[in-house]
Amino acid sequence: MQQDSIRPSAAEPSESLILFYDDLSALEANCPWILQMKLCEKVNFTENLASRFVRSNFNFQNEIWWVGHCESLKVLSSLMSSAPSFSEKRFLLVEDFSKSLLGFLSRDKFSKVLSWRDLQSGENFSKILEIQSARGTPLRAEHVENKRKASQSLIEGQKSLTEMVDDRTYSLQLVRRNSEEKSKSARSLFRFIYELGAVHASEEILSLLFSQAKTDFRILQIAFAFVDFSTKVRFEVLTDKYKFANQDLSSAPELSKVIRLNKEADLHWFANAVSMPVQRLIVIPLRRAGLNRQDQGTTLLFVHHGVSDAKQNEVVDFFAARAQAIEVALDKLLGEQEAREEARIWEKTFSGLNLPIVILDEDFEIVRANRFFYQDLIPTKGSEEIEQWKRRLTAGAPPFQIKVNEKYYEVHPFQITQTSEDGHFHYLVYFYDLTRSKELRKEIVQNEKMVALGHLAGHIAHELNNPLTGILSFCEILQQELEVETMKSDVAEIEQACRRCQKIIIDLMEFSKGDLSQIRPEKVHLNQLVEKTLSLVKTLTSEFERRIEFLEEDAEVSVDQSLFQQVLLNLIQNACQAMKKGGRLSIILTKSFEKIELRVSDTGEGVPAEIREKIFEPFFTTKVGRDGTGLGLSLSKRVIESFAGELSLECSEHHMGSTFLVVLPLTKEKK
Amino acid sequence: MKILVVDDEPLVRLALKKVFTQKGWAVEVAENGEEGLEKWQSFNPDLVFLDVLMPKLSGPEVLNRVPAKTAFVILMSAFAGDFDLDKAKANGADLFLAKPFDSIFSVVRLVEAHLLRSK
Repeated sequence: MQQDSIRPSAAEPSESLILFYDDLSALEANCPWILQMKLCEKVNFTENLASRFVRSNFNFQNEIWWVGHCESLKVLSSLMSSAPSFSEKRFLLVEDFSKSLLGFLSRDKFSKVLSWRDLQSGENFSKILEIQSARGTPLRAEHVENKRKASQSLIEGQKSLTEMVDDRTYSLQLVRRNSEEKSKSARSLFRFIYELGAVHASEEILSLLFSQAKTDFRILQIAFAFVDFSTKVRFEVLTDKYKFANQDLSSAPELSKVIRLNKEADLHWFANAVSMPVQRLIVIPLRRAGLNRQDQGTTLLFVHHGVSDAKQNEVVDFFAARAQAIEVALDKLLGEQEAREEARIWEKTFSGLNLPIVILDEDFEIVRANRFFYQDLIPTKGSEEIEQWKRRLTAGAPPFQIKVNEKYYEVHPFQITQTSEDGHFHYLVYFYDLTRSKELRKEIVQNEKMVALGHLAGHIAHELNNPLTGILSFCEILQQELEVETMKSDVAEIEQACRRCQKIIIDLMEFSKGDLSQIRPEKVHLNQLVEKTLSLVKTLTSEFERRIEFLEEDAEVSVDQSLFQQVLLNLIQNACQAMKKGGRLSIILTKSFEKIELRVSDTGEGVPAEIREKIFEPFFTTKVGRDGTGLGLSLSKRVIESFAGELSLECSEHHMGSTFLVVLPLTKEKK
Repeated sequence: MKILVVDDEPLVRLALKKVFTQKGWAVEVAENGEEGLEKWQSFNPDLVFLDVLMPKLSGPEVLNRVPAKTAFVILMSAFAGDFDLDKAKANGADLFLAKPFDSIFSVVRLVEAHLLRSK
């Protein structure tokens, strides 16, 4: 091969294949077919030659194959690296191919690295061969042209593809941004709904709305208007400083079913309600979900904001998206409120009725009862009385009376026919407490009895006193005239009996004086009065141990002195008569709030339980055969009551004595 | 000394008549107000024991009808709640006595005291 014959021309690109080799014999031995190909140049590769070759600014648009040993190629590669125009992709045929070679061979510059073995088989290169065989023929030029066109269209295709990819990327970015925004707002909505679940008042809803909305928009005020058909409007407003206010308004905003923006009437109404100018206002009507509450009006959500008209729709979207959740939350709140209200009404009516009331089912099981029923009647549940009245609860039964726990009730049963479900009925039963009225009736009867008795007693007293005067007088005359002593003592007995009669009559007459309200009480110091009275009974009480406790500070009461003294004497006399010698008589005065309490106690036998109720009845006495008329206590009671006081048997235990208690009101000091 | 006793209770009339007669005083009795008024006029007593509550005419009514009251009048009542000295004096009596008497002899002593005073 002629080394000088290498004259590649940059101006005239050769379409031929240039083959560089360093060992022709190896090439002939391994792949003789290469040598048979039409080649423009066969260049025996040496370092010098290669150097020259590269430096010659050779136009490497030609197909160039490098065939040679590894070491030679290293040299070539370094040379090529310094040749900037050497950019086309080349085949490289390497005899002793090894991976180490790849390390220094720039991939950019060598498209394929083949071993001799690859070339020997030839099969892998069949196409190459075809191409190579086509080169240099007219077909080859056509082929190159086709290739060029294909390449051109490929470039164009690539370009349009790039554009498409750009478009696609852009739209994808848009979609992504969109979906990010959507998911952000969905998350925010979700958070809102989640937090709504925990609200307990409509103001909390406003506060929640506010805190979410203010991150994106300039919100000035948010308000609810609960419009009632009774023209009452509940207006709740939250300002941007989280200041909450509520008020009842008499004028209602316009109601409609659509969202309204900056409507004149709304602006006007809202401005009035919040007492400040309003420029931008969104009004969102909220539906009330509860069927039962449909007739109770409408709720409007007002959003007073400072967002520009351009972004106004975003604010509307924000609130509209939450409207349904707010409706549900409000509905829940209103429902709870109604339930509370109903419970309160129930508490006020049924449960609050101060008489026992119960609703029973057909089997007389309690469906509902108020607390008085549980309090007064339930402790005896299962008792005979209860079972009895249950049996009497037939339809249309007239009221009947029962006695439970020492109290009398008139039972009024009503049958409630249930229109729903199974058509069963319930009983509503209320219990009218007759105890007090029975007591009152008893008192009235007692009073009437006393009045009648008073009249009778007065009459009897007069009728008896007259003959008694004569009898007593004759007893005296007889005792003077009789000479026989035994007869004298007999007459004395008669006289004594008459004196007892006289005492009875005196008591009777006192008792029959009747109208004690005519007496004129005067202010007296109780300590003094008691002391004065005690001095009268020194002899009577001398045989007993005495314990007297006066008030620490004397107090004034309004009483008739002599009548009060009679009462006190009567109580002391009773106490002394109840005791045997050596007993203890206590008279103790105490002050309790606006009252003075006077206790007269003895250590006698006590009042037996069975007669305790009767001791204040007139003519009831235990002093058989002695001088008791049975009028003392009843009269004393009437006297004390006429002073607006009370006289009662406070305690009395068998063998433990008795204590009578007199309670008198303190005289109020006039300021 | 002439004493008129007007009382519807026979035992009272009897007892008073007995003790007064024993003292030697002249005694007339009447069993009701009407009779009492008649005897007051016919007998012209110095002292009159007059019951308050009587049939026909009551003590105060009798006092009201007496034309010229010259006698010392003691009103008596078995129903002390109705009458007292003030009321008796208002009705024209001089003294009031509640029945039953503390003692029949105290009534005698009362008359004696009156006699002494009037002498």
